[in-house]
Amino acid sequence: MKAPNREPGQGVIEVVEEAVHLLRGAPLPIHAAYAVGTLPFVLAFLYFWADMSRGAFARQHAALGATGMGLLFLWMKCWQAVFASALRTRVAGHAAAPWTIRRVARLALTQMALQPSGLFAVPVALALLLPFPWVYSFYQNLTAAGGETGDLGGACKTAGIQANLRPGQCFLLLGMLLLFAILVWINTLAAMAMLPSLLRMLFGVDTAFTQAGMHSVFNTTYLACSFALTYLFVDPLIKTVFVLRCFYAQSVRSGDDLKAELARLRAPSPNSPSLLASRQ
Amino acid sequence: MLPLAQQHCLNHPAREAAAQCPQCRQFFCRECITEHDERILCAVCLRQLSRAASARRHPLRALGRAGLAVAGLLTAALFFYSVGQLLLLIPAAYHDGTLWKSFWSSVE
Repeated sequence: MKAPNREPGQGVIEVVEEAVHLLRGAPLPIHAAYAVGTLPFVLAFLYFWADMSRGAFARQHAALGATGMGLLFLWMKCWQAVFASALRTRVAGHAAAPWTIRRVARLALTQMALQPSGLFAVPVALALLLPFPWVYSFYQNLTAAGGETGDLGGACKTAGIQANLRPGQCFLLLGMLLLFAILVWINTLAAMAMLPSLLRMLFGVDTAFTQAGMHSVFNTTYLACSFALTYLFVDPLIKTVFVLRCFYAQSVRSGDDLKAELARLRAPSPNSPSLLASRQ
Repeated sequence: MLPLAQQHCLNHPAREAAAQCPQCRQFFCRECITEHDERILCAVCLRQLSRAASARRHPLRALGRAGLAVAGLLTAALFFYSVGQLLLLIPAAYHDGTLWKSFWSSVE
């Protein structure tokens, strides 16, 4: 009988479940590393959007604003790589390596040199549709796995190889995450639309949104806010999924997943008989 | 030369050899070999390779890296400048949502 044509490795649901579990169990400093990088960028982007869409003198300081946005984008990418590195350490069960000046410089250089091209490459790939999963995976892998080598060619090579691994799993993961992002966006939009009405109903607070009624939903800054919130909710999960994909891809050769599993088995369980006996 | 199965590690004569280093052609046990850049190498050859690689580094390499980082910043700035220009091109009525308000009013 012919064996079913399936790719080896974990299933899509398992990867997403593990990512959710990893994200939920991550300590506060890991989440803080993500927030320190991403929140300033998102807030500045919303300000930039509102300013460019409504500011009377926006044209005069567009270049300065764009440079500031560029700096904040690089700041965000560096911190997201720190977040991914911390998650990877947690999955592997290793002790976290110290952040020396050399390590920080290598990570910053890799992110600063490679990530900005993704700002153009990802929309182009999305327009062409077919290469999108590879291009998107490549840039996510650069954050998840290729941040600390210092060698730009090596980082590109690693990210490229991992983007090509298990394409079926990658396609399904991206489809599932896209569906999840759409659902989160709809919920965010609904919450944003209902919150001003609830404020007026429960506390009698009248805001500009209640006065404008449903028409405020069509304001582009309002829509940008909903997209920014969705990004903040969904992106950590996407980063975690790609951290796991990279970890398992590297584990095929390094055996790190087995080592982590063995270390977990070796660690004393809180419900082990010896501990139960000592508690009595 | 004896086959691999009958060879012993150069550093640990009591151990059976697990691999032959393609660089120095010596035999080594599992502990004495390592994988580097998709090749099995002994520790001495790996050290020599990494020394040679660091010696090859050009003094201007650091400057080139800094240049790439600046190019990255300029690329990001160019992208956001393009986004800004695109937003400036869109009419204010569309940004405010008044376009749709007047549209719905005319429908009603």
